[in-house]
Amino acid sequence: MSRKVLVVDDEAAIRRLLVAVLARGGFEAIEAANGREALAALAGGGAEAIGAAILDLRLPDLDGMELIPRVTAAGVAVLVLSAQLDAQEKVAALDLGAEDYVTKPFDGDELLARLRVLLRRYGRSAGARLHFADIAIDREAHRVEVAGVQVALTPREFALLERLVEGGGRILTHRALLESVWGPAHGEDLDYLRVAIRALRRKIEDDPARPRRILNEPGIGYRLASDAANEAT
Amino acid sequence: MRSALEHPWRDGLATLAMLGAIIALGAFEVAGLSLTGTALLLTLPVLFAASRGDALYGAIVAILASAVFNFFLLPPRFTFHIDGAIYLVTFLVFVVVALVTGVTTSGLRLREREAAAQAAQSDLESAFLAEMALAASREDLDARALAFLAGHFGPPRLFRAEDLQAGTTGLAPLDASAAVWALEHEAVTGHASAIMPAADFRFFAFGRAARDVLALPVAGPQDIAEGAFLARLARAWGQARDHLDMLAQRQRGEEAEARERTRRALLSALGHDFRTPLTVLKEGLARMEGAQAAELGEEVERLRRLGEDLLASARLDAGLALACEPVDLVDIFGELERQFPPARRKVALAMELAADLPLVRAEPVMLLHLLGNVLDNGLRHAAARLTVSARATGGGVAVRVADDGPGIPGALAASVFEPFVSGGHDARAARGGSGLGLAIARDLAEAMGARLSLESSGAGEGAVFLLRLPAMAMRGDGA
Repeated sequence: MSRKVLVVDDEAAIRRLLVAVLARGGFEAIEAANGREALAALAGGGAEAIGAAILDLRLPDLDGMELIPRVTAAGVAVLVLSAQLDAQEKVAALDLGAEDYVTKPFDGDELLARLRVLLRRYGRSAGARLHFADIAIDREAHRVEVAGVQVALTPREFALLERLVEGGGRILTHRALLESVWGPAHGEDLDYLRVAIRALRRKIEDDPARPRRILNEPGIGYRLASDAANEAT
Repeated sequence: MRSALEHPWRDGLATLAMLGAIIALGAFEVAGLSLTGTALLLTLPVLFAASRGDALYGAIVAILASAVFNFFLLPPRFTFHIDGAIYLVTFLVFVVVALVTGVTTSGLRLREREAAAQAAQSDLESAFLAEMALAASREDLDARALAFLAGHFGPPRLFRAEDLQAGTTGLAPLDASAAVWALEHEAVTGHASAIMPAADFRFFAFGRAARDVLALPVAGPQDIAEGAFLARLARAWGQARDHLDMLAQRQRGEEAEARERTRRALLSALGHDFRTPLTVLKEGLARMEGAQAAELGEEVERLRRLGEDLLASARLDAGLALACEPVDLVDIFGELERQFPPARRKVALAMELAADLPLVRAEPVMLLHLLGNVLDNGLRHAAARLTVSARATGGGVAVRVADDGPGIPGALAASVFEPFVSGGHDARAARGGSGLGLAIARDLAEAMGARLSLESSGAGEGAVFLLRLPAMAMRGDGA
């Protein structure tokens, strides 16, 4: 896991804050005050040493949205720093390849937890056996174990959980889940997803009315709670 | 009835002169003209008459020619007595020549006249269309069309459908009925048409979106002012109008879209500029210790809420479209629990959710904001416990937020959703509220088609807020 994180924000105060938070989490920050500096830091072999970029979408020289594909193209995972409450901007950023987001004003510990999830994902193998937190999936045998107990799932529920586990704690947008599990024509059928998630929660959550494993980000998508999040609650 | 001859006197006299001259030539055998030669010559005036007039006029001249030939030249002269059958043949030839020539030439002439009328119509129509094409707006179009029609057909009048139906046009009763008929049946009515031909005007309905009736006076050049042609002009006017209306509508749509984009961008910039320094403050305070830091943290949180309320209010004022979707209240309750962790409140927060509630229709971020405000209010007024519960009602879900605080006195209950109204008697609770929270919550509810109300109030009973959310039909996919 690379310990270097690129911090792209035009506000010096936010950069200072992020440098301090990252240092607390054992990361080394590389600062960029605008899009040009960010691209310069990634050029010339710099990208190999950098594991992730924390990106403010409002930059003085470039549209942050434009920067997302250019950073991910360099093999660097993007965590977006959004100043918007509504989902539109975040969903757009995730669609462009950003791995996750935090909303201002954010919590330093939450940012670190997200960053860890996002960096870990890159080292994970994609074999027949997948696991995340206490969920284990055997793709060949179509078996699912939650906290060591086998759970019987319908093919749809299995596919849905498989996507979430593959995401490894990363947020998956409603549309992305619908299109990959139900098919490209069903990107808008959010009620299908809601109903299927309810069914899945009844099978794998200890209390389906208080889900601890499958979490929803209102208006955006679902993620599996990471270990860090479980510890926090 | 029209005369068969274009110039009856001149052509009539010319025919008679020709007849007289030929008879004279035959009578005096000028240049040895025989009886047969004279008969042949007499076909000339017959041909002339039939080609200038019509078959009937030709036939009359043919009979006249036969008669004078018989009277003046055929022996016995000066009688109408006929000696040989051969002269009956001459008479028949005259009549046949007259009929054939007359029918052919009058057919040709009719077609020529039609062609001329059609050419005039299409000239007029293209001039009309060209005039329409110059119009910049609906009003301009109507003014141009009316001026054009006035120039060619006498002063036109334009009646709006509403005025016709209301009977406020000032037209004579017969004309008014003809106009209404034109409007309702999309037919040409009035003068010289099949419907109410005794009316003073001719009426044409036109236009799709806004239907009007055009009334043209009876005057106007006869050849080109026929009903079908005028109806075509009216239709062209209507189409030009519909086209302009459509363009105007599209332009209005684009302008509204541009306005919405600008507002979104402005709100987005505002949100960024507000939340960025707040982040620095909050995270900075989180790393400080001591009671003062905690107190400052609370103030920053209060500032954040106020800012979010103002932004939401600006958003609602801007009238931006809401993206409502099926929402599972389980997720909203979970998020609220995360927003109000035990460390951030002084009273117990009990969240009770009935199993298998229907999905609700809401904009999830707004719903969180709304309930966040109601919970924040409840937590500040509760004595020991705030209970949030949800249950299905007919056609929806009711979320109930009940505190065990001092309640809201009757006098204040009516104005609890007014901005900057707070339980003035409760200094502790009043402090820390933004003063906007419940007002924004109510506005947000309304914007989503939900309803937020104060359910029970009264001193000592605690306050109960009820949010009624519309249910969304649940479509499972069967798997």
